Amino acid sequence: MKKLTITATLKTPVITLGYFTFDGLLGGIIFDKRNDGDVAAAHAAIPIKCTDGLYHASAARFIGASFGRASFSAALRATHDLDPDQILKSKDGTKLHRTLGLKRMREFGMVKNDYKIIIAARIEWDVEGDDQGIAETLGDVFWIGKRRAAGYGEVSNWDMQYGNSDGLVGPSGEPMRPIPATRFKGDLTQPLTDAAWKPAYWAFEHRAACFVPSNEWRFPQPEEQVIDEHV
Amino acid sequence: MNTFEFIQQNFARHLIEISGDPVVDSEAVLTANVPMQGKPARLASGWGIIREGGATVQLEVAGDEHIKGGDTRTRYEAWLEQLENFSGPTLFIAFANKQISLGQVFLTFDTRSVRICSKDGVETFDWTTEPDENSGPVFKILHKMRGKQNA
Repeated sequence: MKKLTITATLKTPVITLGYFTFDGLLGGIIFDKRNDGDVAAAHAAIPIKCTDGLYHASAARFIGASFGRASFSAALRATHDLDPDQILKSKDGTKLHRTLGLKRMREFGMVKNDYKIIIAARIEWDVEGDDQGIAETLGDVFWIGKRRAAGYGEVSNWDMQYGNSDGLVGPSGEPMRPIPATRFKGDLTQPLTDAAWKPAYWAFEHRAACFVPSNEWRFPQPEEQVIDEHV
Repeated sequence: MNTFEFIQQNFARHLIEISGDPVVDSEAVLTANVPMQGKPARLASGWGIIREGGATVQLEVAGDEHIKGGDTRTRYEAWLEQLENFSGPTLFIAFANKQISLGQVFLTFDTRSVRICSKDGVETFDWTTEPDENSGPVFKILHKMRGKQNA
């Protein structure tokens, strides 16, 4: 296992939810590639050091990020009858309490989903893992995040450098990913937050009181270039 | 104790028969019928505050002695008082006709990271700072009320 810094250079804005940890990203990619529906097996194959369920992989740092919003609408029009067994019947059990006619079905209209988009030059993660395994997993991945089919989250280049961080706690003791309070060894004055700390991040059972990276850490602005006018 | 064990232990078990699964019990108490003064109904309006040991809700629920129902304060009055006297993990929740998803239910552990949960999502803010133009509506209203209270 090696300490690494992974960089994704972005071609288009990205849509993500949560902390977008590197283990979460690789877990999703491996799950898609395996295509067998086995979530546990996909997570077990993540080539990152894992200590009692806690992966040594940081949350995403979006360098020079600005934000926007995107909305998508999907046409959800019912074209088939509902299963009569699912509909209440009259007291004598012979008539359906309510039915949907074709006219009413047509009224089933558009469903709008709103997303926050992140416009950033690149995303960085610190991780302790198997460099070969990570390179193989990322080899043919050029779209990350949500709404990839709509053009969001295109990666033009992946870069991997040897680093010196374990992806858990930063040099000032700051959390670099959600870490349960009972397992955090950094700066304990940070606020506790309710967050998922291991994949699958959507699983409610994986929520706990965690120390989490601050927004300042997750969205650092590049230092402004100082132009010396006297030169 | 994670989020849903907290809801199960401090709210669900005082109102409904629990199954033993914290996620199932949390979903049941937040989205299905619960005992009310009158006939059982869903928590479909008003607000709730769940803390260690029990809960307070605006609707007239009929739970045991750990549940206080029929609190006539507005949601902002109740949440403001709770934030000003914050003492440990708390769930701040607004109920509405549309059922809340468990994905939008988060505990508040620290006033620097307050989570207000509603059907529209989760508003997060730092109660120790002042709101700015990007702050959410609940934070702005609570901050204004705090200003009036302290004036």
